[in-house]
Formats: sequence, C-alpha cells, structure tokens
Amino acid sequence: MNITHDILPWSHPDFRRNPYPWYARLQRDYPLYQENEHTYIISRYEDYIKYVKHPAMSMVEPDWVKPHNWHVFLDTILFYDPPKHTTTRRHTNKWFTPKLVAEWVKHTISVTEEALNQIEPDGYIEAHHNICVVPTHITMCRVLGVIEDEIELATLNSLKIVGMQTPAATQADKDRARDGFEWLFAKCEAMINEKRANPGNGLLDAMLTLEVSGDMTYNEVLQTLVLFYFSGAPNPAYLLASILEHFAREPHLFELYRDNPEVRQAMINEFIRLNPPEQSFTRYPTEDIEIRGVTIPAGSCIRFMTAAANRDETVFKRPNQFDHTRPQEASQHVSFGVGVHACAGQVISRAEVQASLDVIAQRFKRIELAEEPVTMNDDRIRNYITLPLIFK
Amino acid sequence: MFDVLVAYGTESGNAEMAADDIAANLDARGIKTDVKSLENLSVTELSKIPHLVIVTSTYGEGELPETTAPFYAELDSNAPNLSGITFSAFGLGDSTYNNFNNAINIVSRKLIELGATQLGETGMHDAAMGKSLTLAATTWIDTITSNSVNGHKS
Repeated sequence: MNITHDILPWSHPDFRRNPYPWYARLQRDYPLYQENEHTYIISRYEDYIKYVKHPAMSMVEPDWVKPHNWHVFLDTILFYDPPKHTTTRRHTNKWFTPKLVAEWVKHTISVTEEALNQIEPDGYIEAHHNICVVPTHITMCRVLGVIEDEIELATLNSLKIVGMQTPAATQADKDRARDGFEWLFAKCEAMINEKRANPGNGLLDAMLTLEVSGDMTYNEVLQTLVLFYFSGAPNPAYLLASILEHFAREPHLFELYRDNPEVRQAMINEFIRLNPPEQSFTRYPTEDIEIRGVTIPAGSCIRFMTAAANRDETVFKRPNQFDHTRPQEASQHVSFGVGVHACAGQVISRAEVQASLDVIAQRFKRIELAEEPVTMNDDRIRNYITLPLIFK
Repeated sequence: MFDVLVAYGTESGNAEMAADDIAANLDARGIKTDVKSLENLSVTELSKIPHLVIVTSTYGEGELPETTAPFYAELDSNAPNLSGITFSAFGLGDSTYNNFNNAINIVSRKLIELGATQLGETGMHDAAMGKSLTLAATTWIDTITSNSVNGHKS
C-alpha cells in the first residue's frame, strides 16, 4: 500500500479504493486537522464520541454554505435540531422498534428465499441486486405500504444523489444528484396520490394521518417518504454484500458463521465496524468550541470521520483485522453514528443482514466469487454495483 | 388477573424489549404478568396492581423518553397516595452521557415520595458497555425474584 503526502486526497483513486492508511496517519499525526478556512476534521474515537454528542453540534448549515441539492430534505430530521428533531423523529421511530422490526424482517426472509430460488444450476447469481438490494428495498416498501416496482431505477437514482456528498463533488456529481432527486420525488409524489385514493396501513398512511391532524406538513411527509424510500436498500445492501465478499474470500469465516449461531451477532457487528457504508458526516457548532487546544469558531464545519474512528488502534487492537472476539467494551464501533442523529435504521439494518445471512447459511456450504465485484466507492459513501457469486 | 405489571416508557423500543424479556422471565417462574406501555397506564390504576415493575430509558441529556413523560406528569399533578404499593425499577442508559440513567431515578423518587415501597435495587443497563440488554434485564429480575422469595421465607 502506497500513500501520498496529501492528508485527505478525497478524489484520489487509491484513497477511494482504500482510505484506511491515510486515516491512520491523520489520526496519529493530525488529531484535529484544519482542512480549509471553515472545515475541521475529527478522527480519533475518543473525540468523535465526545463531540458528536455535544449540544452545540448543529445540523443547521450556516450562511456560508451555498445552496445544494440535499436541501430537498430541509423539512426532515436530517436538518432539524432538537427539540423539533425529537418531535419529528418520534413519528417514525415507533415504526422501527425491535419488536416491530422482528415482523418486518419476515419480508426480508421471504424475498431472500425467492431470490435464492433463482440461482442457476451451477450456483451462479448476481448477488448484489438480487440478494442484497431487492429484499431490503421491498422490506422498506412494505413498511411504508407503497408500490414495489422499478427497483433498478430506484437504486440508480439513489446512487446519483449520494454521489454528490463527497467533499470533492464536481458539477457533474451535482447535476446527477439533481436528476436523481427529480426521479425520486416524482415517484414518491405519485405514491402519495395513490395512497390518498387507496389508503392502507403503512408508515406512509400514518404520516398522511399526521398531516390531517396538523402534526406534519405536506413537505415533511413527502421529504420523509423520499428519505425512507431511497435509504431502505443501499446501506444494508452494502453491509450484506461486503460480508458475502468476505465469506467468499475467507471461507473459514463463512464456516464459522454457519456452524456457530451464537457468534453470528458478534461477527456481523465486527464486519460492520470494518466496512461502514458511510465514511463521514458533518456538523456545524453553534458556539465557539475548544478541541485539543484549538478554538473552533461558531459556524465552522466539523467533519466526523466515522470510518477512521472505527479503526482507532487505542480502542480496537490491530484495528484492520477481523476479530469478532474483541471484548464488548472494545467492540462499540460508530458505523451508525452516535447521539440524537444516530442512524434511525440501525435496528432494522442489523436484523435484515442477519436474517438474510441465516437463510443463506441454512442452504449453502460454500460461497465463491464468480467474477471480481464492481464497486462505486467514493470518499464519503461505498456501494457495490455487482457482486457475482457462486453458491454451493 | 396478573401478579406483576411490567410497565415501560420508551423512545425507540428498547425498553419495550427489556419489559418483554422481564415478563417472559417471570412467566417462566409461574408468575403471571401483564406488559403495558406507560402511555396506556393511568395513575388511578396503580392501587389495583399487586406489584409494579417499571422500566424506562433515558433520553438525550437525562430527559424522560416520549412515553414516560406523560405518566410522570400525571403522577406529579395528581399526587395519588401510593402507600401499600410495591415496585421494582430497571433503567436503560448510556454512561457516555451526563446524567446516566436519570429517568428511572426521577420516576423511582417520585413513586417513593408518593408512598410506594421499592423492592430490590434499581437495575441499570449501560449501552456504552456493549453488553446484551436481554441478559442485563433477565439477570436483574433473577436477583429481584430470588431476594424477594428469600425475604418472604425469613
């Protein structure tokens, strides 16, 4: 592995392929790194835990941040601070409790079983779309109570919108994101119109009831629908695909999983530590804040490096190694973030991944790569395009 | 009729899961339970409950979660006489926050102030330690149950 002098060469192909050697140096030599006039980078685990939770860390962007495509979500939990964030998040939280999630993953299991039935006689299947995306996407559609068609287009357009979240976004990335949002919003507006004509009992119906009672605005309903609709598949699908790739490259790990149900949760947790789909996120402190002797002015941007914190060697010994037997206090990775904005889909993602792997482990003895997988990893988000596998 | 009511207050459903685990553990001992969300429990019902197990998480910087807050507000404003009522308490928290497990302490203090008697120590799960919530809840209820059985014998 070869690295460059640049601290964070966001768009460098080697960095996008494997940023971890750069992260390790950042963490060691530049624990609080000022990247430019406005932006500071936090990468150590200890700082991450402490400052993500700091009450001054706002989601609200200061005036110097130029308008951008993700502002289509201004009326969602993505851009709200407490107490408004709390009130809004509670509308959807109650649909993703551990108890309800146990019901939702029954859909993941049945759709995964259907997908496995399509495996060709020699064991071949393109696993990313068929096994990772389709079951998780359909699960979310059924939670929402919306139509399950056009999964390929939903996936394509979701990739377009997340592609502009890199700090090195080009105009082409932004244009693609605009197109992606146009498709997703048109799709979701049609779902709302359909719902009004034919009500059901999904999460979208619950939100439309909240609209009638004045507890949500139309924009909140639409934007929240788009947010949940597009995020049902990509991150859980990435986790699942990354685990299947591990299983194909390191067959002993699949054997370990298959033969030892009691270690499955710990193994999944360790895979999620090593392969977070989202590498970083930003916050904007509303007051001056001193971190490691540096005063960061109110209204700056602080980027929290999730993926770097997950491999902080002061917490995770030999951090690049898979080790599902790490002591519990040293297995608390931050792939789902921490604090009030921690991933709302954490419970369902873990449950979907385990449900799917359990079905696979029940049916197959061995997983092999049919071809090298194709990924679309940038420095902010990681995705598979294809993962051709042979199941035996 | 049940012997124990397990009532939970939750933000994201984890306290509900702990309440279900506690109830299952008691049921397995032949103790009849009912599980109820605090938002569906009126303080006027409390006097009819043989024993109350109260489970709540803590939200944000030591605040009461969504379904605990209205129950606490009702206790506070109605101030019912709870003498003769016994309860046990289990909290869910995260020690990387200030005011760790504040909500269960707030609710327990209020119940005691109104005359209720707490049986056993308050159980606490710490999400920051990565230990299983189910294991923590069932270990706690094991201790409470065996202590109270021994208590009856002596």
